[in-house]
Amino acid sequence: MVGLTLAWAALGLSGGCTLFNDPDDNLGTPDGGLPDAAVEVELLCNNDSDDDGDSASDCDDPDCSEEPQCCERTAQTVNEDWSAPDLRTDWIFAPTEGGPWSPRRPNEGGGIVGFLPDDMPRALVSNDCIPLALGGSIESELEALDPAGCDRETVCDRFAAVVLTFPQDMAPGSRIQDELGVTLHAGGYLQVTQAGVEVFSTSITVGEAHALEIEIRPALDGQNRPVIQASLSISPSAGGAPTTFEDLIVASTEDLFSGGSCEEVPGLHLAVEGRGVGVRIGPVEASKQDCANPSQFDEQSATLTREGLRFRPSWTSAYVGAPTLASSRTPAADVQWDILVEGSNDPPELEPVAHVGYALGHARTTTDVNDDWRLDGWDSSDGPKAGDDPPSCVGGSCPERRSLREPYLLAEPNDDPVLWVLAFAREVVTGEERDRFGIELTRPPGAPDDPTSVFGDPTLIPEVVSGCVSLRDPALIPVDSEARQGYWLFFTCVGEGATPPEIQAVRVSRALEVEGGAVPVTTTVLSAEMLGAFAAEGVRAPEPVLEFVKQGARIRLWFLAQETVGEWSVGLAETAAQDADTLAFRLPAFTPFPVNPILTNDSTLVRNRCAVDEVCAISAIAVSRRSDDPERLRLLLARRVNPASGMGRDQLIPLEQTWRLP
Amino acid sequence: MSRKGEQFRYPWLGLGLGLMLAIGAGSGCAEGSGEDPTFLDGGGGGSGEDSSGDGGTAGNVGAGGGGGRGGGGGGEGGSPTIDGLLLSVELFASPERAPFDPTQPVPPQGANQYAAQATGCYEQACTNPECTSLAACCIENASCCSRELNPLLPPAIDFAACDGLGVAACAQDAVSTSSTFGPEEPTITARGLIPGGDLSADGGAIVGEPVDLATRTLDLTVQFGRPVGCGPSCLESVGVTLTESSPSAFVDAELGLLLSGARDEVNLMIGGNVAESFAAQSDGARWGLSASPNGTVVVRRDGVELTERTFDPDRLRSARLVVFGRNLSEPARSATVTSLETVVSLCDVPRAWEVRAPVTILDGGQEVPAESFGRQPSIETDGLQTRIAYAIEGEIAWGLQQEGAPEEFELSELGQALVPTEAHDSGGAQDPELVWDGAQWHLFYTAEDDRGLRTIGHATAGPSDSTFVADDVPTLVGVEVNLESPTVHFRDGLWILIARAVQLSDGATELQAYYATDLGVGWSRIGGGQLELLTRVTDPTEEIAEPSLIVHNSAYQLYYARRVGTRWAVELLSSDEMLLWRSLGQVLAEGEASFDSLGARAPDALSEGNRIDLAYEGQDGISFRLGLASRPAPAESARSLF
Repeated sequence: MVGLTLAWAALGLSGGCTLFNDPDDNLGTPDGGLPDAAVEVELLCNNDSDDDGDSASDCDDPDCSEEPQCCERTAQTVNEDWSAPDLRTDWIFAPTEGGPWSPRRPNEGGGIVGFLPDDMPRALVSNDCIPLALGGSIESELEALDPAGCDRETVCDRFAAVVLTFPQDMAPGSRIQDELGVTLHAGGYLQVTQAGVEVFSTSITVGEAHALEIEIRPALDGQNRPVIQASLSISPSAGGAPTTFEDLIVASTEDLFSGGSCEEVPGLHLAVEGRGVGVRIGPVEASKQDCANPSQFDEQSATLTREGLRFRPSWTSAYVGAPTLASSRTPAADVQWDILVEGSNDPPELEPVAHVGYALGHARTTTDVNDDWRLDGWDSSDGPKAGDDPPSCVGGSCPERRSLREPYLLAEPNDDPVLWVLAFAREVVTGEERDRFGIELTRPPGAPDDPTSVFGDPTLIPEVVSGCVSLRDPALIPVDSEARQGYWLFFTCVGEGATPPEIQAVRVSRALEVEGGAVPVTTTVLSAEMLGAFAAEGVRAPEPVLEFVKQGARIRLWFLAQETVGEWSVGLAETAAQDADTLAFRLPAFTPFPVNPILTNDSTLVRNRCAVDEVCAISAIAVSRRSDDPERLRLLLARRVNPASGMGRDQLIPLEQTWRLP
Repeated sequence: MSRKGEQFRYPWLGLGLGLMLAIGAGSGCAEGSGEDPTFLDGGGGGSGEDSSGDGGTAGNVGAGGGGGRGGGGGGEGGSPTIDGLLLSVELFASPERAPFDPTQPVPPQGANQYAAQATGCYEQACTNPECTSLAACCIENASCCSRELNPLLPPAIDFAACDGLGVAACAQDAVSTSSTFGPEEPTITARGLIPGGDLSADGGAIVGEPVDLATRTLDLTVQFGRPVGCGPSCLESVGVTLTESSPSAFVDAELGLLLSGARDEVNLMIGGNVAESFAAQSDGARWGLSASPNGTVVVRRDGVELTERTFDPDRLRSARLVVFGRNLSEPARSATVTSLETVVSLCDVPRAWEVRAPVTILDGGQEVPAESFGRQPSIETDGLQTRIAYAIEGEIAWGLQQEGAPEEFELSELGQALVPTEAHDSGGAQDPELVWDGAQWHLFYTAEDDRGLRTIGHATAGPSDSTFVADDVPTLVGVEVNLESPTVHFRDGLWILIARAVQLSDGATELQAYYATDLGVGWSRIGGGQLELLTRVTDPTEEIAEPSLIVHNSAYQLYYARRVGTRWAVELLSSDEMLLWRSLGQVLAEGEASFDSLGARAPDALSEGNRIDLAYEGQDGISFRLGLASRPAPAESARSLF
């Protein structure tokens, strides 16, 4: 184990436009930009700006090659040369009703030259689904061999086709449903079809092999709904000008197949279809886009519970949630993990009825480089680190208490020992009024069992923030690599009445004082209006992750969004400053990820190990860069599990994602 | 009741008394020079010369012509279309609702006002309450619902007047069923109902029958009794909610009001969460919650609107009304529900199908699986029994609906409806449309000849006949277009036909409307309206097909199938007079059953009192299979302001 201080500045030495990388990606290196540019990479790849001054903006800049909208890198999902003795391992012989059949395969040259008997169309449909929602490609070769009886300008009853299809079967006598079909008829007539309707056609030379390439990209349709779009190219294999057909909408993303190998990234099945002899179809390859998927995580082995974190039941028996996660290096360990949670002895489901009280607890563990953390046996505060025990007195079980909620722990890794900032929401009481919160900022929490006390007013109270009746969910980022000029404090502004909650930010000095004092200048970071339907009822719980890139800075922000009241999903947004020095004065506007939300209550991850009669719902998410591997993020997804009868329980699910730094 | 084929005649007022609405070509009039229909056997009164003198040619794609055999006004000189709408009192789905006196000249500004009002209403989804003067606005409109006379929920329960009684006894006059739950039996005092829950679980009562909030409005009025001496940690609470979940430790308050004694607030609960809170103010306050099937809920206190929020009515398709809460105090200090009132009204919500199932075709009581893959179904009733017709292998079959099993149809009593024998259907018969005119059955269908030309064929059958006899010529033929997929509505001696026209030159399609007063004389085009423009498709990645026209609740409802990519879905247009159309969008798409898991097409609707049935084809990606859907829809809730 090596105890090293990892400087934020060290991260700043590297760059790369890697907005979203699924785990284990190998990203390209940045092109470096121009020496005198403020940053050496394109910070954003959809801002119509040449961020690094290399005369290439957005997708034209190689730095953006990993972005979903620009990605060129693929992973092969199908590679079939039709030489296997038994094709049934990977392919379904359709129609499955109507008797056996077999493709005719030549002794030499590979491919398929016939679909026999020739009384009806037949197809080989891939067992596996090809993930295409984020993009992909299909390649094959087509050649008309025997034009006898077939016109070069019209369809013929002998053909072969490459088809993208949702179903894996077809009715006897019918063709397979084609979301996209490329059919070569024996006379050389080539059709592009959808639902059996021709959308494009051309003629190719009989006896000449032609390479077919289909490129799939995610896009938005005329109503801003996500779709996948295809561009096709057919060109003589021996060389020659290709014939192209661009921008055909293949399917709405929500209409794609989402089971099996497409569970995480929806897609379609690949089929080769034909009737009779007369057209050869060569090897088929299919690939999926392999650059980015912010909805894809490495799930860790198990979940954390209050028992694993060794919190005593007196203050956590009914609820543990709203975690914060901090990763740091110490002289004694490669990586130290600190988790703070809110907890209560009364269930949060009683909130509509009575005032439920909450307190904060702290747990810590250490691991070696790249190790997973322990799921039990943590060093724990046992009781609350801050707040009362028990914190909640519903039914008059104890004197009235004040709630402390939603902790956020910032570890400043430049300092040895680590310098901490702890933020949390603290209930302020005015007369009879309850459930109003301000934001408390304080310094290091010390060991888990070191208590933290609060006195006086919170650091930021709702009375001074226009439009907010309560301030919740604090989170912090430093404004420079050493936080010498202080921080940006993100928080949830709970407005009056039906106003959807929104995320705002305010500047805080290194002394943890709100700039502007009684008249702070707040910035709206994200609101319902900025995000569309999935956040129609508001956003909350910001989780920012900052990285400095040479002279610039990039901030990724996870957050919770609700489409209808109480239905929370996880969204993602990002922003960048070409000159990191400007962060001290201005927080640049955030851009939502185009395929939000990245996690919902219907996501496999959230439903995983959730019983049929249980309601499993996202309650919070925490994000932290691993101090032992800055290319990896660790996330804690908090899930509330409510069974059909009995009390609910909470689980903290550890996840990881790779956001590699070149 | 309004249904296809219903026949009651009243003095014919003459289509020639139509009214020109000068709203201009840009308002949806079909463009082009307007060639009129040709009717093969020619002749007939007044035979359609339109204003351009092109009478006798069929309605072309993009044309706005009228006339034809017996055209415009039943042979009274044609129904020319110029740059405006030809509005005819008789074309109103409910002519008595027409805002014009057909015996008097109507000032142009009156017609213009009507067109402006209708167009404005349709563009704004009929949100203005005044728009319900248009019957087409009564669809998917909470302002136009019909109060249920046999309510599923209690009209009123005065708990405070039931001191000492149990819930069942107190509610027995208002509802047929009630049950209680929770750690202790709810009690009723002079202060009202005390639910009986405690720290561990809610207590309370379920009252009334399940209600579908996707098809009904609910106006709930409740009075609470506030607890006495309740501090911030006090558990005293009481609420009234709709929920589909069985009450457990926590009642899942999907949509309701909850009084929190600790906060002295009333919470609007949506999806089990607090959506908004309001000061409780006083014990006598009357709290109102009005839920609409369009997903809006309004909260009022003493009649004053406090908020309007949204909820998901699809989560309350079978909702129970639950009175619930928690009490640890003595009864004299507990939170209570003092009284409860509900009003439930049925609305026409085209997306809210209650039944959706595959059709089974029987022959002699035995299922014939292959027949359930018939195409383009049509259902119709003669008032006694419903029949289905469908195309299969170029012929038309029909069967009788089985009593007590609406998804089952028996073939054996009828036999094959139509086997093509004429030159014009030598290539096959498809797209059947059954119509009962009060005396005999009519079958309209797509007739394809051996050259591939598609026209509209017609055949008739007597009330007890098992097969149809086809006319020897088509009833309607296009020029430069194929006509197919007819839908026909018959009322008061007036036949209205809508078919898909496919341009022979480029394959572009649109729906075109025709009318006739005598099938022996011929059809005239209803030109100049918005239908063609709304349904025109030129992109091969999309398709509009298979229209189905009914009159329900004084409005035309035109269902049709739209394909986008490979997926089919049913959409709906509505109109009062066949010219100005309101688009209601998608009303039937992919379902949860396997047979229609990818989509639905080929709709054929039937208005049956306070219900609409819809036969269709379900899409599973492999084949299409017959299905039947049904939804409640009030037949007489449209009001007239005229």
